[in-house]
Amino acid sequence: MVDALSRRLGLGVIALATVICVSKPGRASPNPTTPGGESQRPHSVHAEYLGRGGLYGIGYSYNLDRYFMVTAVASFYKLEGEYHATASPSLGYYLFRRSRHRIYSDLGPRYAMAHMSSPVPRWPGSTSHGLGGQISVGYEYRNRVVIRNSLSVLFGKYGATPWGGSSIGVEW
Amino acid sequence: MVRFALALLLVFGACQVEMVPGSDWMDVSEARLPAVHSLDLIDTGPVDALRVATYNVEFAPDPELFADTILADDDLSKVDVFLLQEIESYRSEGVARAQTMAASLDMNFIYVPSNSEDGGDHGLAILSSLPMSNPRVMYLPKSKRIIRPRNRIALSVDIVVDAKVVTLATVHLDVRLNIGNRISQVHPFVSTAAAPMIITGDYNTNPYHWSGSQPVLTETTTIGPTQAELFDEYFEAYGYLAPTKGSGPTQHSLAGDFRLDGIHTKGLSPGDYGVVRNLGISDHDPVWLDLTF
Repeated sequence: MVDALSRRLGLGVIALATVICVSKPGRASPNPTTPGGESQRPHSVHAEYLGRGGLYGIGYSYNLDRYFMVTAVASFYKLEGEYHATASPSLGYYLFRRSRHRIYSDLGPRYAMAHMSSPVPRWPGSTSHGLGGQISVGYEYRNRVVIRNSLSVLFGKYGATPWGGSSIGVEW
Repeated sequence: MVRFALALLLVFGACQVEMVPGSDWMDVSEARLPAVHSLDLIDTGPVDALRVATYNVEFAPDPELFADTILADDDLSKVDVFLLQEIESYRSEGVARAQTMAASLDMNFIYVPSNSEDGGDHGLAILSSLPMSNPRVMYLPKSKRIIRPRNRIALSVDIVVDAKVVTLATVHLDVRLNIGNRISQVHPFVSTAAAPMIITGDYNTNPYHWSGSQPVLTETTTIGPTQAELFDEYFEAYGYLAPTKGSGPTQHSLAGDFRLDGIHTKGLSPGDYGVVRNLGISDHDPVWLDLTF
């Protein structure tokens, strides 16, 4: 069942990315942009690779105003018999913006669950939960399509790891 | 696109890697590469306590330097039995490095190669100030998907402490394994060993997740649990103690400091333990443990 869920979520990520890739900017309804070409659509969904959602995940962002956005990313994947799930809310701040290009930084916790099944009878395997954090700086392009690339540091009780990620999504 | 293809591969292709079965325990005379040993020439007399140490010596290019370093250290100079990993022997050097080290430490020794190297071989050794008997070797299961897989062995001997026969074994496990396969690699002998038993080694319990031979960083690298913690849990489920689990890192590299080495005991009373750091002669630190009887 977990296998099936993992596969469905994987298919979901692929389907979302495909829809985003084939959609053309400007085709849809009125474009709420400023005279300078800045998008004012507050909502976006995205599929990401690495970034805030483990190996890959699906996220939603909401721009609170011109400077702040909140994002939530969730992921679930299987890696050689191990199951990993993450949930990562974050608060982002636009450091720089011009037309469709923005530089942002965000910070938030990352909850991670890992399940390792056991290959032997007397050790039951392991299901564990942990909390870490992530701080990132990234580039965002917004024009109905939302593309982000980020560099981050993921930290937890075992130290810090450099991280990064890319995402592609749509705004409305 | 490459990243996306990798994600696809992970979604659809990442099932647990199959392991090729290993062997049963066999006498070292049946080992695939010839063993060298002098098991019982040295006998320091009966003892009622024991200090053991596990040490990945990173090929021990200068075995006399290792011996001198050990003798100069307060903790290591009191060790009765060293269980060594990643030690090599070259025909051009005349004698096995384990033999040179044992001679300098006035200890018995056994060296069993697991793999041939250019002009020599590479394997495990046990050095003991007590007589050793019943030397055995087991070829461990190995991963089918690892590029250039190497033979992995367990080496075991018996010694007598306080009139009890104690079995000691050492292993050096593959790097590119996730926890399930790491357990599968040691399970054939961990699950069948009778107490009193001491298992030591370079377990290579690194914090990465592996997809085939590629490391894939996931959040558990920083958030946990680590392979070292899960490996200890596995041993404990099979009736072992993990007395050195609080040792902290035992290996140092550019990628970080990791707890790769450890000692597990069954049917024995472990006492003090320690890690001797900053010796500067291997990328691993030796871990020692006292046992009372």
